[in-house]
Amino acid sequence: MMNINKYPEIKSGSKLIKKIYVAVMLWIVGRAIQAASRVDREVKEEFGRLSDDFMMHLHVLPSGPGMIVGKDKNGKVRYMGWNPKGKKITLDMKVKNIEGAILMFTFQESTCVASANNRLAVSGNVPDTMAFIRILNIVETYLLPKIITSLAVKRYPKWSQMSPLRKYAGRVLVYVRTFTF
Amino acid sequence: MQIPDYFKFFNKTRIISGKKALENIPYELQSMDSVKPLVVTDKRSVDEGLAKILIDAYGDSGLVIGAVFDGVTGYTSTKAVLDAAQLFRARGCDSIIAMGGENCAFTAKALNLLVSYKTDDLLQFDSLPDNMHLRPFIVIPTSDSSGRETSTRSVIDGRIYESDELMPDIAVIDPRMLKKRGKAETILPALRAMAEAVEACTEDAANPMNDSFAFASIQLICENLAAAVNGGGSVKARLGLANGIAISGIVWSNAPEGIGSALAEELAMRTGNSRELCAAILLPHTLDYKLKNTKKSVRGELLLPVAGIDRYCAAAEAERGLLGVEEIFGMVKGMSKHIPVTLKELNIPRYILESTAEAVEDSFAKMYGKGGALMILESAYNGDGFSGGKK
Repeated sequence: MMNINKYPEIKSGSKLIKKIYVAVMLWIVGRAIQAASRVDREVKEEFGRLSDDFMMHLHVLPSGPGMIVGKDKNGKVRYMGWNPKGKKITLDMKVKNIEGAILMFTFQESTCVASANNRLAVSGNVPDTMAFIRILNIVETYLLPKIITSLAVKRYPKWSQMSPLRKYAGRVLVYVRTFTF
Repeated sequence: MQIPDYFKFFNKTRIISGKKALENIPYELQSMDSVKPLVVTDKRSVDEGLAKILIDAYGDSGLVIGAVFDGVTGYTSTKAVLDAAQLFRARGCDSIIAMGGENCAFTAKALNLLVSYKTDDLLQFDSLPDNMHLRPFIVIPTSDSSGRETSTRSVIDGRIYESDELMPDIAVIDPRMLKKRGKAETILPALRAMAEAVEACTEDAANPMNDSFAFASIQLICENLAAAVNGGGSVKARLGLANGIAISGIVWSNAPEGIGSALAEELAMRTGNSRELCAAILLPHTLDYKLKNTKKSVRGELLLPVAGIDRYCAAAEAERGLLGVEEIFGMVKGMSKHIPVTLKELNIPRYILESTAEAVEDSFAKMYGKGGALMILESAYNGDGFSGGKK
């Protein structure tokens, strides 16, 4: 008989630092989406086209971190924390593992490349998903310098799409609203 | 494109390849309702730190690995399968991950039969149906892979177990698992895989589905072999090569055995040389013989994956088959610094060539003519150069 104790059971470890990094990034992005929906006309229009009960949950499998952004009773876009309990999620975007999330949030892979590399699983309808990706691209343009945003989005907006005035003024307002109220 | 009157193609294996591919395993297992896999591997993979990379990739998944069984050796034995089965049951595992070369995959496939049918008797699986319900099974090819990992076959103690369901559900090809190997160790499995893919698409029964897989396999191997051997073993080249080799297993499972594979198998058995080496040596000579002596010759499409679109388009349609064989001749000859490229270099006595030819003659005499097998072996023995279709 073989000695099975020679082959112990192995529990999966933890990647706490990576989880904390992704959690912080998701918090900033979530708050920034809320801010941008009040500051940027294009983001406002994108959200306007989404249904009144729109609620998006972007999270990392199997146990987070995550963020929830959705419309409240008054139709205002709000960052609603990380806990989906009691919320009616209409668009569930799952990053399959923490390493995939790290690749995305350290901008080694853009959202489009990550999707193409099968790192995301989405439950919800496709137009809503695409609208959310467009919103995410605009928010990243506000939050990050061009050199980093270029890695995170498919195409960096041209001057005709986003004038420097709109960009810099919007950036200040988004940052102020993200970190204040 | 060649299409037979009737054909069948089956592929169960999904390939997940690229950066951080291993991290997808917990998600994929959970999607198959599994949470606790048994990892079947060999000592070499553990010593090289591959098991540690896999365990690290499991980090944060919340799942448990039942155990890492490293009892697979160079010979796939029933004892190793039974030991693994005992461990699988004792730990309450529900799925299998094979990490390593074909021996690890063969052991894992046989283990899957035992644990899925709750038995310890492998002999009851002598004849396998194609509609079995087996446990989720993932293969992680390493640099030791030969392509048989993704095939429908398992060989334990010399007995062959074959069923469509023995194909793995998923093959996860991650660059971190593809360690640098010696030049011969890199070349031989790649050439054997290519030989099988080439043979599959030069057979009369070739079908469009298998052709597309075979062409992808051949192209990946042709494009990346030289870079993987000479270019300091770049990761991208090794990844391309591993994909080509993995696809060749699917191709091989869907094609009838050709004369080249049969001769290589028989010769390896009679001389003790590796199957990879025999297949690599015989590949160009089998094609040369087919080009010269058979009615259907070699398909011109072969040139496309072997030499690329530019050469394919530049060549006249009637010459494409010939040029394809010439390319393969050149490719194998180019490896002569690292591996023997003639049977003469292996010091094989002539009587073994004759008995080998005799053993496979009956099965292929109709297609290749009487004495064809011996002519291929003699050509490979002398290392006759490419004769461009002339006798």
